[in-house]
Amino acid sequence: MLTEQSPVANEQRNARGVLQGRSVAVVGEVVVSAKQAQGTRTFADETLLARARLTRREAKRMDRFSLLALAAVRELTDSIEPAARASCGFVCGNMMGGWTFTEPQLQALHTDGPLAVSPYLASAWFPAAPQGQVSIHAGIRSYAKSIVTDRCAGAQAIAHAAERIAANRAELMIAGAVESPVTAFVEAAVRHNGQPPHALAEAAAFVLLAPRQAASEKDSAAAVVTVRAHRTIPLGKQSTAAAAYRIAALWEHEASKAPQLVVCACGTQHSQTALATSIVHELFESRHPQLLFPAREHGETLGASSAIATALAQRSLITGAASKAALVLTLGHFSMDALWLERSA
Amino acid sequence: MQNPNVYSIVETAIRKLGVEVADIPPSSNLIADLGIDSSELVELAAHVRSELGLHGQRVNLGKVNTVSDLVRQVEGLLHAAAPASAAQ
Repeated sequence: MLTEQSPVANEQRNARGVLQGRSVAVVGEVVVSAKQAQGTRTFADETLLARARLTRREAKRMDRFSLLALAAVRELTDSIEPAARASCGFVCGNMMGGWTFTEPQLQALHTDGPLAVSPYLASAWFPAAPQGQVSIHAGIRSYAKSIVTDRCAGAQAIAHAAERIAANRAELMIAGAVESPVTAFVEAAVRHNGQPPHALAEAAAFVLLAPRQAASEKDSAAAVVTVRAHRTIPLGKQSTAAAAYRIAALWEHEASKAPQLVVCACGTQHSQTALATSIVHELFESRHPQLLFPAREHGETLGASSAIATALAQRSLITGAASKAALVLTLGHFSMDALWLERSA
Repeated sequence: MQNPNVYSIVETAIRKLGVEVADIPPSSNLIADLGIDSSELVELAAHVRSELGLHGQRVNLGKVNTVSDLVRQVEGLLHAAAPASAAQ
């Protein structure tokens, strides 16, 4: 069951969601998105294998979402010294699990019986599979966790990882989310909910987190983006607007730092973007922050969407001098989520 | 003397796993010599069953250590299935 702020421990956040303890910086990000990279909903198998750096024999045990997570994380671990990599933690968000592997197995079970089912099904399908496969193949030997909720999973994973660093429990964390939802079963589920199945696309996005002090010592002149606050509000019986007002407590800590940028992780439908737009206008009144909708470029990436939004917010804060604070606002299926990032020189 | 056709099918199935060795003699230990793990043993049995049409028939993997052991087991299954096929 979702708690007020997070599906995982949140002792490092105060009642409004503001992180306590060490300041945590986002020191790297990666987005691996089929739609953005090549205009298709999925990557070619060869592309995924090459980016994940696996042989076919290794990859045959995995669903696409594990391959995709590994392909993305490799780009971050390449920049980490081997010794630091072993002590780096990993938190991976996801929503649907490994249906690209499971669907053919269910068909085999139906037509040919249990002996025709792959021996790798159990370990390939389950939603924590990317966490395990990334840990094994990318050499991550420290804390690892999976967060399986809804579209908010990526932001929740990033907030949980930030909390570990804030509490002095980790010096380096990779966090984000992956989704590989282009399968007949997931398309049917999406269609059943009245959403367009053709918008589904596979993607993964992760950020690298470290104590802000360490980031500043590495390059004192560079701008640093920090994770300032995070809240998840389960929707339950309350309206989306009521949940949004509870999320507004995030920036009450410093009213002058209203976000210049809001990155909305929501579906691709007009009704979703219109709802997100109306919430932002209602919350920020006349301050008119810049609004970004990553789904327009990346498609409907479900659990990965809030991680993509966070990576884009970090990129925008680093490169756009005009923005000092960004809100990653996620309209999830069961909850609403807000992750607050700030930039300082 | 083992059936060379069954041996050839088992060898092809081992190659399908992704095992990359020059030769696969009958005495090869599946785990120690070919690097096959317990999950791949199950996959190997499925490939062989599928190739020989032995659907629903179980290979006793607990008694399989070498390529030769597997060939012997598969020959036993084929032998057991033969009277049934002949009767049909």
